Amino acid sequence: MNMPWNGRSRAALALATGLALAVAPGCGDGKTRVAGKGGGGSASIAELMKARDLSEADVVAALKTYTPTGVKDEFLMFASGGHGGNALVIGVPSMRILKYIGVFTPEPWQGYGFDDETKALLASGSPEGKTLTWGDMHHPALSETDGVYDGQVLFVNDKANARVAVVDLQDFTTQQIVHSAILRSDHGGAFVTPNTEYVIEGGQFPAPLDGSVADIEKYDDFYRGAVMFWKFDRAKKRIDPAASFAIEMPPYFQDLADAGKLASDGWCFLNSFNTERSYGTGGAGLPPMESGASRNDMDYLHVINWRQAEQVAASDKAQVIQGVRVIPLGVAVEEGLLHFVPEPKSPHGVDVTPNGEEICIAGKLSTQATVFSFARIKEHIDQKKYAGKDPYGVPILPFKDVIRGQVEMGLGPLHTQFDDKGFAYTTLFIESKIARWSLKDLKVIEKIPVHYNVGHLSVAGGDTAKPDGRFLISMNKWAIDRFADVGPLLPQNFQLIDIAGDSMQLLYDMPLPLGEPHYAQMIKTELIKPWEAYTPVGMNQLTHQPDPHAPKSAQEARIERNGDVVDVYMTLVRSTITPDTIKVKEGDTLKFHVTNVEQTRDATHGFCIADYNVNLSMEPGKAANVTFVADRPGVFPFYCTEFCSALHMEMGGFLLVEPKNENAAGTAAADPPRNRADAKPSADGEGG
Amino acid sequence: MKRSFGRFALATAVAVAVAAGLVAGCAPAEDEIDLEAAPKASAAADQPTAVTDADRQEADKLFGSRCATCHGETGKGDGPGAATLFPKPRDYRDAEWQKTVSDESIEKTIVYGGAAVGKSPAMVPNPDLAAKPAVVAALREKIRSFAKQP
Ligand code: HEC
Repeated sequence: MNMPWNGRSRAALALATGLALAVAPGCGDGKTRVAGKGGGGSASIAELMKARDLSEADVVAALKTYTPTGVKDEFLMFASGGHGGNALVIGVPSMRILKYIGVFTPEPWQGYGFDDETKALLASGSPEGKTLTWGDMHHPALSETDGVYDGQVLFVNDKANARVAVVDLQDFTTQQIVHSAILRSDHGGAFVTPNTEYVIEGGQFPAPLDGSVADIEKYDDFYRGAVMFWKFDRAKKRIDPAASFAIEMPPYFQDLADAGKLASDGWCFLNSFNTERSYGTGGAGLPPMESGASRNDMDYLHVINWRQAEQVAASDKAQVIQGVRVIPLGVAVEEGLLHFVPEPKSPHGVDVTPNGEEICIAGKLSTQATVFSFARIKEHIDQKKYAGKDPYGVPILPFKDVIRGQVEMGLGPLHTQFDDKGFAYTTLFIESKIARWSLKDLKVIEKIPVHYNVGHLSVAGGDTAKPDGRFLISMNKWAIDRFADVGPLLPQNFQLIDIAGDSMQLLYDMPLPLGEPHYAQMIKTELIKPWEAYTPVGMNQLTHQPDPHAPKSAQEARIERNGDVVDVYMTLVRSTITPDTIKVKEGDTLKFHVTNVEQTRDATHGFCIADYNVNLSMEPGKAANVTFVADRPGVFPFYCTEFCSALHMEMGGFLLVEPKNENAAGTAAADPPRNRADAKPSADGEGG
Repeated sequence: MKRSFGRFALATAVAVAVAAGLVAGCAPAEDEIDLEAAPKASAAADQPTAVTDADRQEADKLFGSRCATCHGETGKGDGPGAATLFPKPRDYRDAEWQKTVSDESIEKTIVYGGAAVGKSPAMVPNPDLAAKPAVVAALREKIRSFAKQP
């Protein structure tokens, strides 16, 4: 969005505001005040400002975010919906929510998790026989080409159930959910390598990789961590599980990762904590996990050579555990795939600088961010200059020799992102601030307070080789006093911060009524090229291929019975559902094959059937299938759930399920409860 | 481009108006805000709309994506969605109909739907086209062109 007027009109309005301010004090008398705090009606800027108690800074902030009708946002932010399990698409700087994308949680608006295909999709990443209906989404990752977002695909993880999902940005729908059987959780997903060769997924809680149960006292010997490298097949837009691999890790809590880029391409940097290997009290009086896991001053940054690991994984040195190709820890050490670097203390974010030369790690329980030099790490690895080994034989590099320096930050540094001007931005959880610091001389330049409890942050393009800068979103948890109270469960708060100028300015608060959103990535809107409709008519949303069952025109709409299986080939067009009368017997299996035969962009229909939990979203051209057993007799209306035209309310029909046992008491067929012949109105309205 | 100018003009107008307020001793600024400064989207009604090739191309594309579903690619009223519509869209080749229907009525039908001209609301409106009179005119031309086909 290149809006030539933006800068100029902003300047003009800023001028207006300035003048208005100058005017205001002398203009108190005789002026019509705007009624109420809400302002509105016809009033000058000065009057509105006064009435709404707005400062000049407020007005400037409004001018930077206000987006008139019809004007599109410059950036799209893809945010995790936390334990809501779904992703959000938000326009920046307007902070307007544009879409929820159903991923781990059924999403009725999109019919996600209601048709046969998306039901199977949700089940595909679930334990056998039990479809999970939520996820704890943490870290969205946009696909990259040469270390820059390319707008093709979004990956998201589910920490609770160790799953990774693939969302296609052509139609903003989930296409695949994968689960690695060797992982029990995955706080450390999803992160991509610079050309999206792999999606990295670090576990958190170690467990026996083979799925067995080992006594918790045998934690050191039988529990293991692991990191997955999911191979992404760009042509198919799918993760290829057969070509993916894992590396076995010591039973530390492997955490967030970032892939190296440019100078450090081919490497992956992964944080860990709880290198103390605390597993809690064990029911036997040991220190609880949170204190057991934070005794040491240092944990270990895992430095992984993934390009070399890829080759080892393809060799016979890898083992197959629960269907996953795993490089055993011993092999990883022997082959030089894994090195440790001490990192202070219980670190949280690990973020590679845009040029790929340095790695910034914020020590959650220290007050600093440490900047590691990849060149020095590499040199020490090449020359085997080790300071020691961990209990599992992994070589440890000398901390002091591989860092460039440390930046004194403040309390609770967590995550870092970068802009286009050489600044880094780190969130300070305990202080509730964001620090802007210079990568060049490792000095904090400015801190801005945020409200409150900031976790991640997102700068436009902020983890890529070419950050856009401009805007920063502070992703805060539990907005105690920012919004009208809505009960004990507090909304989250995304705060939009302008980082284009010499000092940061807070522009806008956006409440998020969903699970803790964790992380988001922001991409230039123009880089995403979504479809306008499913073309040609009859495309399956999941395969993106013609659906073999889809009727493509109303002529092909029909009902076919085969024994007790009834196939209903159904078309939707404004404002007709064909067929509109469906008669079946109780116990029949119904297979609906529904197509919206329209190609008009805004001609989305829905299709629902009362009481049977059937609810489809039928965007133009889309085909969907839904199968169910007609297990209760009765009359069930079906209709279009989108207000698709002036005849929307008329777009419906009836499913009649006749009872199996015709002699059952009170059933319509055997014994009409009323004398229907008598009650029937005559065609012309008055009784014959 | 048009709207860019309009907004800039408006912003400037506000600035000037407020500035004027300062000079003129606190006159109510809103009186002077020239909200009409933005150019109007619709052309004057009595002038025939000029249709360019770009409009015709857009109309072709639109007919294929929006109209053919019901009216059919060749305007016969046999699109994939038409079979069960009631009433059915007519065959545009019908010379009698082409003679009796006015351009204005066709264009009105396209933008506001069948209900707006006393026809069936099954003919859906296209409100977004109200801002594109030339494309509507090109669609009307297209509908007219079907008459010439065998
Ligand atoms: C959902 C089906 C549908 C779609 C889509 C549709 N139409 Fe129609 N249209 C109809 C029906 C049905 C009628 C007949 C209404 C009547 O005769 O009462 C009609 C009538 C018309 C008429 C009036 C003909 C007359 O008898 O005066 C015009 C003009 C027209 N359509 C143009 C279009 C154009 C142009 C488009 C695409 C922008 C379009 N229609 C899209 C269903 C549709």
